[in-house]
Amino acid sequence: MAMLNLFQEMENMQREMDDLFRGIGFGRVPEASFATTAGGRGYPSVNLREEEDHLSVDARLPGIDPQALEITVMGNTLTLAGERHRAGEENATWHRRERGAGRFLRAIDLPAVVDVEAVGADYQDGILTVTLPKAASARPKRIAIKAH
Amino acid sequence: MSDKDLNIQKENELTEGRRVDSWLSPAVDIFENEEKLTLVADLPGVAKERLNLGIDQGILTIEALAPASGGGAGSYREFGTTGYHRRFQLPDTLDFDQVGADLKDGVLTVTLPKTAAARPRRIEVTVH
Repeated sequence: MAMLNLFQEMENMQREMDDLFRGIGFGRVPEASFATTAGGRGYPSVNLREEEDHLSVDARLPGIDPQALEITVMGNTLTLAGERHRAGEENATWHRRERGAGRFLRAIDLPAVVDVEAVGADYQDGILTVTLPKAASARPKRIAIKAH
Repeated sequence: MSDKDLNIQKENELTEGRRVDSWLSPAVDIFENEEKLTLVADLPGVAKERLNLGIDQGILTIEALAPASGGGAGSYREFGTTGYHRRFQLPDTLDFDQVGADLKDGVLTVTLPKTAAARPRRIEVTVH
């Protein structure tokens, strides 16, 4: 099929570009595909930020139904689990299928004790942000000094 | 190569002098049926204002920026501010005036209808 050949041609070009850039140490890498744990990291990739009174975890989860996402906190571990469904029509002619699908689970160790009851989550533009307020015992406390 | 060289130079300056930590080729699905070709790309963290999508001389270009929240003390990062860039040569059997694009939950869907001439046509046989 003519169309198929055109796309393959681009694929080769892409690969050449990737190789070219890799050769000179350029930071352009193909995005880690779904469910691979290459490099010792899991899916989804996360950022964790610690503020004075809360922890914030951002996870890259494009195209997920937020209702089907399971977020649990137990002790010092935050667990993100869910499933990404296969998109597109099955009886179509496929030229590329790089976006993965399937179940995922990632456990993240938290650096502080959090208040499990007050954990909140927000999903926007394919980024899940979990805000975990620290437990009172984990927050810095200013001690007032009485002067006599 | 310095970061300055990597900024996408466009009239609608996508990166606005921001430091881009990494450039990625977004993962895509491409499939076609009788009426259209569909391209689906994962662009997590990209808002509509930070997506540049264009077709020029039969080449579809996807350029996008996903700003990551700032670092600071006590942070652990697996991804930073990410720029996405990928180009595709499109077959000329597509109707470029009817292209549709939709961005939802970090997933871009581009619909490229085929020209009438490229669609399969059923020919009725008249039996006498």
